[in-house]
Amino acid sequence: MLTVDRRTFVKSAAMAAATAAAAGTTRSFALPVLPGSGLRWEKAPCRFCGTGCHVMVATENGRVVAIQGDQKADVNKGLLCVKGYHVGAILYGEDRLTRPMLRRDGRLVPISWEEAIGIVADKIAENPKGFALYGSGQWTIGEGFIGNKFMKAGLGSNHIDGNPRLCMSSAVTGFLSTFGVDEPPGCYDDLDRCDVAIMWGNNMAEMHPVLFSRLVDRRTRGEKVTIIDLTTRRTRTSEFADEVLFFKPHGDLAIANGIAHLLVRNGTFDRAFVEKHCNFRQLGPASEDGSPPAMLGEPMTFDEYAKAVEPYTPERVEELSGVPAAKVRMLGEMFGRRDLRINSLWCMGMNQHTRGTAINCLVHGIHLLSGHIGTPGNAATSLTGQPSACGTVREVGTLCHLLPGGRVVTNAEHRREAEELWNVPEGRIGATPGYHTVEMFKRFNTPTAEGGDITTMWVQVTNPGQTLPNLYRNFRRKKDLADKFLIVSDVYPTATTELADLVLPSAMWVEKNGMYGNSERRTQQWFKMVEPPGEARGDAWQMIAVSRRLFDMGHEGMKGRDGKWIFHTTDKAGREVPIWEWEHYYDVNVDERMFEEYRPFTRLKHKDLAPYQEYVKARGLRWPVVQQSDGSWRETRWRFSGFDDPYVGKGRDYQFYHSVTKDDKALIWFRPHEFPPEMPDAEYPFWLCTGRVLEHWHTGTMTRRIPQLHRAMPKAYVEMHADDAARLGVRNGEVVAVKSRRGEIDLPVWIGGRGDPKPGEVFVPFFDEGRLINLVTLDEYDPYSRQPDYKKCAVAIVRKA
Amino acid sequence: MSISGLVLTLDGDPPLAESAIRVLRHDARITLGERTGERLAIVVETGSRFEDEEVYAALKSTPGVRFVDVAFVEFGSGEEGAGDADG
Repeated sequence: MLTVDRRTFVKSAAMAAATAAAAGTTRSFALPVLPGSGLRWEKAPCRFCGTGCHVMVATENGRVVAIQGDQKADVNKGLLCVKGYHVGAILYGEDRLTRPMLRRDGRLVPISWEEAIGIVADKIAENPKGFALYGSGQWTIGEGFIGNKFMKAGLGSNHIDGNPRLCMSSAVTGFLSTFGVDEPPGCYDDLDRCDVAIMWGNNMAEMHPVLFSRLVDRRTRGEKVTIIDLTTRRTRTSEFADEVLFFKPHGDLAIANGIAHLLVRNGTFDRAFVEKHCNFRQLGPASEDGSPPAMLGEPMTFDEYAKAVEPYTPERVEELSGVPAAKVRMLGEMFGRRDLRINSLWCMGMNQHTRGTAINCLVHGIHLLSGHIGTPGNAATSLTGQPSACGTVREVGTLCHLLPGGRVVTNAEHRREAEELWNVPEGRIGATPGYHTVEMFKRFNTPTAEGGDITTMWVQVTNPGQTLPNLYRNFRRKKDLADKFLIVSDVYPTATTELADLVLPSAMWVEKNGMYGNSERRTQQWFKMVEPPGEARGDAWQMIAVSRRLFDMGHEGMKGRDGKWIFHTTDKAGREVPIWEWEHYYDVNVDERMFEEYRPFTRLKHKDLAPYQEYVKARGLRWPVVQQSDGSWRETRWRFSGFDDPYVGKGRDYQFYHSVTKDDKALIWFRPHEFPPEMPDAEYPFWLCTGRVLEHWHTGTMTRRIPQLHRAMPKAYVEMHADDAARLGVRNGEVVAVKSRRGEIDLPVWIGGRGDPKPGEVFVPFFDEGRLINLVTLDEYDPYSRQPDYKKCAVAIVRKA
Repeated sequence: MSISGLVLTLDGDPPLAESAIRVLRHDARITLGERTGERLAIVVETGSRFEDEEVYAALKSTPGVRFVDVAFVEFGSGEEGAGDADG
């Protein structure tokens, strides 16, 4: 129990924090420190989504004991969502993995770290080309950098990919196709300045609630903010929307083209902006071998573009999308107004889409065509689902085709630069992209004799046994393949460790030093605050230890140009620090060491990062971060805009300085409406959409171990419209089979549910490892981003006998 | 024992917001703080984290309350973490 003194103290601290947060950031607020206690407060970004809220973490006697929204953080201004509220508890689930374990005779048995590291090194040495590393957007920047260097500069292999392939790679290809460089021009400040916020298949109220509250909070202050919810199902976001416009799956392609049609037909597009800053593009013809046309397409004139969007009349868009023609006109007129500031926001709805690149390009396109971009409040804002999908995967480049700082393995000059910066011999980095996620797992799940050339996989900080689409095909076949070896580093048992041959217990979040990069180009830093449990150790150390073991075994790839180990690290006196030995790992700050090695990579694409110590002082800084004449470091909020971005030429209002066409112009794309690859039919008559819920983050491995969240949302379900339930004769709570051409699972029916799907549609969340909806989903993917579509496939709902 | 500091965003309709405040006043576990516009600071003090979550869920569904945000949570007073999620 709390003592009275402590209780009174904590209560007053809680009230002070809430009062300051309710009042906004105008009041001063001091963090509570209980007199005589060992309470210590330190900053960290939240462990969950890509918003990048900062929390203040209180530790006492080696444990995290309190969490507070960080008043000094621009992102969340002292507030947190229900998940952030409980983030400290993720460290303390009773079944934390605390010892390395090797599968022997079907059972996982404890082994030493010495043996575990040796097994991993031996497996890699046996067949380096058959080894793949699969990471995530939860890797810290340091971890991603080490993994990328280990694979590409060490093993000379590009078989490294990560789960952001499943969540935001279509946003990447959209930015690349439009601006020639990844990541958004704008930032969260656009939420505070826009007049209209358009949700493109985006349940922001539940998935990015703190950012959504920034919009809603403006209304409470008397500001007019119009929220338009373009959606396939009613969600919590719909409750706050001025307009809820339901569209059919893939109808978003038609809606965007319909807006473009109206801007052109009515002459309301921003002619001056377009002439000065934009070119037009379309895809070329498909090649004869069936491969898709080149991603960067072919030029087209404005007249050709106008002709291409001509068929997308409001009436035609209504036919294709289901959105009434009058509402399409409303959207077109809105974009045609210069006096409105419009912010489009999206996340998985546009990214998990077999035409994800296309819809990303189209939404950027209508913002460019109408000039609604680059001034505060006018933005096309892609939100991410993981805390460092941007900072680690997109920027450090832990995908199979990337190198750090926006470089690609297929570019000889980029490879040469990376080899130079990594100090490894010329020619070390392979010129061919490795396997992307779905291909990597397909090959791992195919017998070696049948072409399954990935034989050993190391998975870190993610749970592909739950998140891959079509799990029977892409993950669970491994169970019967004796010549495949799966290594999993994680903090709790998961659907992935279930099939692992070797399990490595990891440190998490404030049990290690780290840096993340959020959705608005903000790089954040924190220090280790508590010890990991048992023998758990950080993922970065695990890779470093394996690399060193390979070096000691004489593996040439682990040597740099100077013959030294590729992760050679010295102290301030120049003496080598044996960071491969756990007891010496924290003798130096490895995170700082890696970050300073990474920084020079970031300048090529003007994603400049400040020195590590600048991030220690800040609640994150948005790149490019450029040093001023007085020595200070300045972040950039609006990229490509002359009033804020230091890389825009003097006197220019905008400059898209990495443009595909090398003329500082962005591309407005035409991409046609296309139907999804699988649609309901007589045998599988329902659309299935999958997604997240407020209480759980991704596969629930952390949030399901927090009692409050687990109790609030204990199990998955299938949401169904009441008319469909009546027609099928199923009652609320009745268990039904959800079947597709790929698999089936049993789920209780929730009539209406939280999302209230339309007739003919069902929704299932994917957080529940006991009910794996990805046994059912489709593994078709966008041809450019290789991102699968989890939002639409055809299923049947069958009553159980 | 669990103590948290929350920020409620009340409905823009004044009678509805007032009715929410009346409901909150009658709950001994809730201490009302200052109101700034439609945002109200409160402290929730309950006997357990489970009860804390029940109050949180009830607040979310209280007519007149549009959003519940969290500003502070203390959970270091004895209750340990959960067991296996599927347990």
